[in-house]
Amino acid sequence: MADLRAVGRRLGPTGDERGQIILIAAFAMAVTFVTLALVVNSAIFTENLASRGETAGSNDALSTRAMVETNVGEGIAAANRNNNSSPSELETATRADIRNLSRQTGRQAARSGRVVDVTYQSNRPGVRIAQTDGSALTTGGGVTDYRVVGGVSRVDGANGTRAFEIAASDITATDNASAFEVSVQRTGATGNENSWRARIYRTGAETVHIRTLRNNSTSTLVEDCEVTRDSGLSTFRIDLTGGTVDGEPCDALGTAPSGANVHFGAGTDVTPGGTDTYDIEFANADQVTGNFSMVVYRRPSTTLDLSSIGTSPTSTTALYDVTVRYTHLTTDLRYETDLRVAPGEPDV
Amino acid sequence: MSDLRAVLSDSRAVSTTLGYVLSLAIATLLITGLIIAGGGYVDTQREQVIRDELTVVGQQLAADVERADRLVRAGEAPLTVRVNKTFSDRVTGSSYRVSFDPSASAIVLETNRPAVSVRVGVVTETALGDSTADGGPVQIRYDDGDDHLEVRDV
Repeated sequence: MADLRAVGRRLGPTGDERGQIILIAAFAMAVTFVTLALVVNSAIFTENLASRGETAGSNDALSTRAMVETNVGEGIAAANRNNNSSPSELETATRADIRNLSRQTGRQAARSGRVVDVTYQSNRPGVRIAQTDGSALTTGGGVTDYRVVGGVSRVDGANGTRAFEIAASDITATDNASAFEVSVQRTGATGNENSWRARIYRTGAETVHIRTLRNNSTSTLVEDCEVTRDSGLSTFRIDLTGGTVDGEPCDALGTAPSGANVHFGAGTDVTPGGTDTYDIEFANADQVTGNFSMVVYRRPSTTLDLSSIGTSPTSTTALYDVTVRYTHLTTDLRYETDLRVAPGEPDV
Repeated sequence: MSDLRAVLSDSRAVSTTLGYVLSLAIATLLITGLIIAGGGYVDTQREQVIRDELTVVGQQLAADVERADRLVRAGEAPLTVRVNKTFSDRVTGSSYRVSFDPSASAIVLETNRPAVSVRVGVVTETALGDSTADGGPVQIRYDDGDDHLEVRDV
């Protein structure tokens, strides 16, 4: 307060030094008000911070990832259909497709300030079994009960069969006894042990009934579902690995009431990633007319039993899955991951 | 003696001095009270604002941790997930620390002066790693080796 006193001294020996306390108080109050302003400012900033949303771009990373997964899946399906003369041709076609995809996705992402890169890593071999001539699902020789494929292994953490769809233009069976049956059973099991069976028959002109039976060594779990197709459709599209009929969920194909998923491999108790295998068989195949397609996994250095498969249905070399490296960068986010793509694969 | 008695019994000019002293004392008392009350009020408000701001920073950070967790769950090894977030270096003039508490599945934010501590819960499938960073620009990263999410300075 030297200056305040100096002012007083300049006024002379009888200088007026009154008002010192008020000045000091005013100074202290000023400091208090400045501090209060800082506090209020921080409170306003807090409100502002609270209303901020996602800034790093993780939503974009996941949506782009989903888009990449779908597109790579389409590429795999196209390669399996069109470039299936040899494993190397399949790989070359898929690599080219992924390069193309990476370039296009990268360009699209660059417009919004992101870097996206997709590179091919590896693939797992498989076999695609399909019928495309619209005839009965019997073998070329008219055999109604036959083994479609034997010796299918399960990939680690997932199934060994994917994208198994039947497009039935006609289903003649109308009861459980004569129903078309898809049977998935552990190789070497006797009777109906360690099997998962799906019986398909019609209960009305537009209604398909599916009954699934899962046998383990002690009990059988039976489930039923019915789906009426939309009017105007000429086929029943039964997605056995997706658990839908004409796009509608069919509980018997999906999750069991206990929560266990009974699709295919899981119904046979074959351990994922192990050397055990399962077989897929058709029974009463003359009851269904139409097309079907599936891709099964062939563990390297093993062969699949395709002895009943000739020209219709037919089998071709295929890719079971493809692993790509997905990179997504923004100023605030770095996301790099491997992405295994197996379109139409159930999660167990 | 009579002079002394006269001086002692003389009360002239006393009221002026007394009045001055009294008004000085009352003014001092009032102003001191005002400053103490004002200062206390500002301190309380400051602590409250720090608490609020730490809570908001913690919630923003928790959202980012959960986003990182979502990316980790969607990914397959080898996996890199790094989310950067820039907060202010200080909250209402105080520097602060951010740390993950794996046992309580919470983010702990603390300032020293005044001592304020805020915990914000997070729900993640990926474990949280015991880690600490100073407030300001921070990074949430996934540690592939230890399979957990941790916070660090950038």
